[in-house]
Amino acid sequence: MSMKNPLILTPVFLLVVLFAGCGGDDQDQASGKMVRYLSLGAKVRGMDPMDIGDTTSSSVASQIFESLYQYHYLKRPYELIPCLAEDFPTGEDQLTYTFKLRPGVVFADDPCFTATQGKGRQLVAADFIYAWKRIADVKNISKNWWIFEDHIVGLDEFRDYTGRLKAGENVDYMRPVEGLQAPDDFTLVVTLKRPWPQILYLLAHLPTAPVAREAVQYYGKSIHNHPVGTGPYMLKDWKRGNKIVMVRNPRFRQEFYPVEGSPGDREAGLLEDAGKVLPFVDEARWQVVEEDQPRWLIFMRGQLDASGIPKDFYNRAIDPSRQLRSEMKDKGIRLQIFRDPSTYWYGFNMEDPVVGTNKPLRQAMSMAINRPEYVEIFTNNRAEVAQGVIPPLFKEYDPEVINPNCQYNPERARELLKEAVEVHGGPLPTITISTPGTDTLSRQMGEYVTLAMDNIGLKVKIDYMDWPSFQDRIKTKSSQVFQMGWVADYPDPENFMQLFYSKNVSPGPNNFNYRNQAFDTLYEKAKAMPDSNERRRIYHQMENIIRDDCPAIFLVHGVAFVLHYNWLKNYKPHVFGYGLIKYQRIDVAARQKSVGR
Amino acid sequence: MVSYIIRRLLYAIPTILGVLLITFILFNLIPGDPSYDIAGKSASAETIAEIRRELGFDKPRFLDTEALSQGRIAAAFDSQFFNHFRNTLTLNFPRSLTSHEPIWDEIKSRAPASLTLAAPMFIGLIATSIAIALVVAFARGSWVDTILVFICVVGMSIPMLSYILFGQHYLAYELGWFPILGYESGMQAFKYIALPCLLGIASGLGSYVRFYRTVMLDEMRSDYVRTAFAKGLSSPRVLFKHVLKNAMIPIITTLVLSIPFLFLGSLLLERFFSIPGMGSYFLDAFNSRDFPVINAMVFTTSLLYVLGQLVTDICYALVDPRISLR
Amino acid sequence: MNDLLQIRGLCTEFRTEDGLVRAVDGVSWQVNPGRTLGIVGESGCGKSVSALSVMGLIPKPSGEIVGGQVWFKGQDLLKLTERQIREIRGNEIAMIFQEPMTSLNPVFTVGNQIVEAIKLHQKLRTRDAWDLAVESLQRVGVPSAAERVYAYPHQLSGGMRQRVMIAMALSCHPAVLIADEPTTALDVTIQAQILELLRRLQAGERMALVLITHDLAVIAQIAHTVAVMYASRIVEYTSVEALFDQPLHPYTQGLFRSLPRLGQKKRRLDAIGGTVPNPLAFPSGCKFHPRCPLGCDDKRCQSVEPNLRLIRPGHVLACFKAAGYEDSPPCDIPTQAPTEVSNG
Ligand SMILES: Nc1ncnc2c1ncn2[C@@H]1O[C@H](COP(=O)(O)OP(=O)(O)O)[C@@H](O)[C@H]1O
Ligand SMILES: [Mg+2]
Repeated sequence: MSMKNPLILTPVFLLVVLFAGCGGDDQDQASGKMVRYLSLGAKVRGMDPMDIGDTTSSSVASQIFESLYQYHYLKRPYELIPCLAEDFPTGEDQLTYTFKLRPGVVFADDPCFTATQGKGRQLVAADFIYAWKRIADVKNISKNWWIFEDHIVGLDEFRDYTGRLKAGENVDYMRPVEGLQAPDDFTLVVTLKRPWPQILYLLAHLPTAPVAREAVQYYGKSIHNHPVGTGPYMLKDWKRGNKIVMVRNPRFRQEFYPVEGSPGDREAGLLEDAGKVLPFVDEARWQVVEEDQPRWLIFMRGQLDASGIPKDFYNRAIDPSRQLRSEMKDKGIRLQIFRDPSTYWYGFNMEDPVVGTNKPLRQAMSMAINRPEYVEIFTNNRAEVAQGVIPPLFKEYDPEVINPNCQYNPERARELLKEAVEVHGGPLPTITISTPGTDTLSRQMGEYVTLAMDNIGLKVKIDYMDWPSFQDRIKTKSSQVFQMGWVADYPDPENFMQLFYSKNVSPGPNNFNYRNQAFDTLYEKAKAMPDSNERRRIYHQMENIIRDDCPAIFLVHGVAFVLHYNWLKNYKPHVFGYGLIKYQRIDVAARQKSVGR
Repeated sequence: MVSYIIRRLLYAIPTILGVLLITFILFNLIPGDPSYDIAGKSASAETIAEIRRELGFDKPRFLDTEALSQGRIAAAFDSQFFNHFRNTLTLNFPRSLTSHEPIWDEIKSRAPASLTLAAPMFIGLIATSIAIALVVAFARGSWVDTILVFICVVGMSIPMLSYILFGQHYLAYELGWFPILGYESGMQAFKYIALPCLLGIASGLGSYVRFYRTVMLDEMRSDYVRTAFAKGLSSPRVLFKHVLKNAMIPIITTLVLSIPFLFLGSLLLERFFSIPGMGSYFLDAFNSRDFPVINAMVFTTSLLYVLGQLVTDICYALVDPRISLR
Repeated sequence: MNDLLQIRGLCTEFRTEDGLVRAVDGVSWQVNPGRTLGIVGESGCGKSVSALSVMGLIPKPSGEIVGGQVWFKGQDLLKLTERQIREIRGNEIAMIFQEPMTSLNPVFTVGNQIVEAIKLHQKLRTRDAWDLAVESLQRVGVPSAAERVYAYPHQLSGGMRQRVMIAMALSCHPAVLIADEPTTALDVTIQAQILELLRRLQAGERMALVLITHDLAVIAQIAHTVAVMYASRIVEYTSVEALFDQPLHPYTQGLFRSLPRLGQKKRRLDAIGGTVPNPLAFPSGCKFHPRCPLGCDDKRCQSVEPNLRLIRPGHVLACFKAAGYEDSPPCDIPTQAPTEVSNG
């Protein structure tokens, strides 16, 4: 061992490091290729539609896979339009739907199409049936069975059949399902057990996208790495934990930019590309960025086209009047503010012997929290006070309703607490609140709530834990009060109401384990109804039951702030839609000018 | 030597079994069931049951006593406990529960990124801190020593996160000397790892220099150093030849103890600079209770640790003639 | 000033956490080719520090030579630069230490360490240097030196290691060898062998030898002149014959009493009562007075420190109680080398 080594190494190493640091810039910036730069905050688990259940994976895979329907890009309130379907379905009753497929749709070229030397074949109705059977197949452990469960004639039986198979036995996908028929290649007939008015929303959902059987057979267990879809983009490169690159699918069918939009869209320049062939962007690149500071910095450098605003950087971007600061405007950054289909709450476990049987206690706790103050302290005003569970974004939201349980009223809360002591039959024990998060923000929120409850004379203890431990608590019904929220999958309040339906108790989505006969009856009735004033009335009735019964302390609805550079054209936030990159365009010259500076 | 290595590896068996036992106990104690995560937000009880069956959670925990009483020995040992040992020891790692990727494939693709960052960082850190420690030891008691030790103490008390936030903001964003984040494999990697490397070195320097300085000063008090000076050797000569080689022994110990951390990568640096290494893989796995992944990583790490200890012993023997591997 | 090595009024201090320690306080002696100076005294009296001061090996920055001169071949070593003194150190003045077990570097072969010394001071090719190393090992009586040269220190016995140290020290044929308790750590038979070796080598090389020991028996075997040190100072300085004939200082007398006598198995360690004084709080007056059988009640001994005086030709002493001390000329620096006197 030579004694000089360490010292010699040091300068050499430092030199390498310093020179390496002075490397060149992105080569693509110069080539004039239209590239859309995005970031990923969480990991993309896989790109098999059957198995996609998180927004991150959806936002990526939806550029490759398409479903029967999609949301209109510009129109508000949100509205569906056909995608792979040629038109809206036909059918005399509410039980049979006949979908005609758009002709000329082909799968992207992929080596899995061995019969055609890699050339993607035409999309047929059987591809949908195959994809949906995959979701039903118990052995596939799909996250998305909830979509079809108890809806389609024969599909639940198909699921039972797959469950009965022994290990090693293959599922026979040719086994007929009565409610899923393909009389010809372009016709799909779906027969339902009972009316299902939300069906089209769910058929706009990414997991219901058709999948080529050839791909599943060719790639086997690695199918999640090899998405083969019909959409505008194809996966070019995927380095887990690092980046995803997609390129334009040259065989994408003809699709055009919408020619009409909502009021104001034309003024905002969102209709400049009306009627043009989609997509515009040649390449989409996602960079994994898990932390706030680096994401913010690369956005400020122009290495991302759009970004949310991390809490720590809010005040640097937005002034007290909720306007974008002028430095930001000067950089060509624009601000978009829009409502989220989300509601956040402290939920009660109704099976808990203390809180579950004590309505005055729940109401008192709900009144103890000063929601406007909470919004100001914890969200930089990026939220609205909740009066119930349905967010303001929904047309069923009634702005007139003031829920007394959601008003800050410590005097009344103290009175209710006296009642609560009587109901409990003695002094109340300390109430435990489970919180999924151990970070500073979670702790500050915890302290705030502890103080609020202390103020009305109630002792609470906050239990901070990580997400899996939290889920364990919820799903095994072992929490007392829990901090949670829900973001709607589609614009129908049914998606919120199911959270209180007695058949959905834990481990299902009803984590409150709320059981109410009257509510259930209304839910079952409304669930089968198409949108109407009558249904809207029933939803209001249901929400009133919940407001009064107070299985949750409803806190706030989210409001999103998104920044984007002005070189990102046709950018309109959309809270339900995925696969939207095809509408967007990059003004490459503008980007170069502004980043070059 | 060969027989020594074989013997050492045999001694490692209890260690490895102990690690397996601990992981098994932890997986049973840590709250959180991966089934909920796999099943998604609107899961049915039936899906969760299927997942648990698939993961083998429905099997008896230790021993199927019923099967045992019926004399079906193989079936009796088809329990969570024995399967954990059997699968791990045969390196039969399943796919990740969340990404469905074969665990080995993902480790193989991520370990190079971690190493690309950690190895130069580590070598740089050791080399720089030994060099500084030698300078400090040489100038012991003088103002150079005092100032450097003071800087070390200050440096030690600043958390790594502050170095990262500062470095990324000022050196990368404001001054533009480095890319803000990113990673490419191959030669391109240097461009991306430069800043995280420097920050890692800067944040580690304080404690390393202080430690090595103590090691060097301890050695400098030795009689053989006095002998060396009495021969008429110059200070640098004494430091670099006599002191350094003797100081190698404690240094090697710290080096090898750090090998598992090289493998796990530097979590914070990897997160902030978007380096697709083992750190974020491990964190993700932990956050979704992806037990097969955690198990594979813990097991691999403990294997590396055992190997590291063996390497330490061999290095000791190379450096110190008093130690022989028998 | 024609002595080979002559130190004059050497003062060395250490800054410690508890205060300033004056480890060597105005020490003077000299040594000439072919002669042996023995320095004797209890442990902690400053023998090693005075030797290290000569070598310029006082640990810095805690230790510092605050006064005196070290004359070697007509130049004051204390005025030389570090680079100049390195030329002399190990080359013209060599030193061996008490702890043969730890004084060699454990991770290099003995050959490597000897060759290092040789190549430092002589322009030799590596091969020749190794040959020389083997030769010097042979000279100090290391059996099968050609193989031992590749041995590591831990593979050798204590006596062998001390031989290696001697071989290393003598490899450049120094004019002066300072041996700091070279035999203390060795057992008796080996001690005798090493002393014999030193004497033989000294005679062969006409080398000046400074032998530090706390053992008068060793002095008797090998030294020509003796300096007795007590509490950082020399208290008696004379020829070995004069000292053994009639030790004058009560401390020296105590040392003699502690020698083993015939029929007595153990040394009488308690021959001098009390303990070595703490250098941070030396007693006032004669530093020996609290332990002195003669001076403990004497006001003068308690308050005034006696200087060295030439009490008779070739005999220097610092004790008020000695007959004739009062009338003797002060001799802070023994201008007349006692060796000359005893021989002349
Ligand atoms: N490095 C040092 N730092 C402080 N004090 C020292 C140092 N070396 C020696 N001394 C002090 O100097 C005095 C003389 O020590 P030394 O010369 O080693 O005695 P000895 O006569 O036994 O060889 C002792 O009292 C010791 O405490
Ligand atoms: Mg000594």
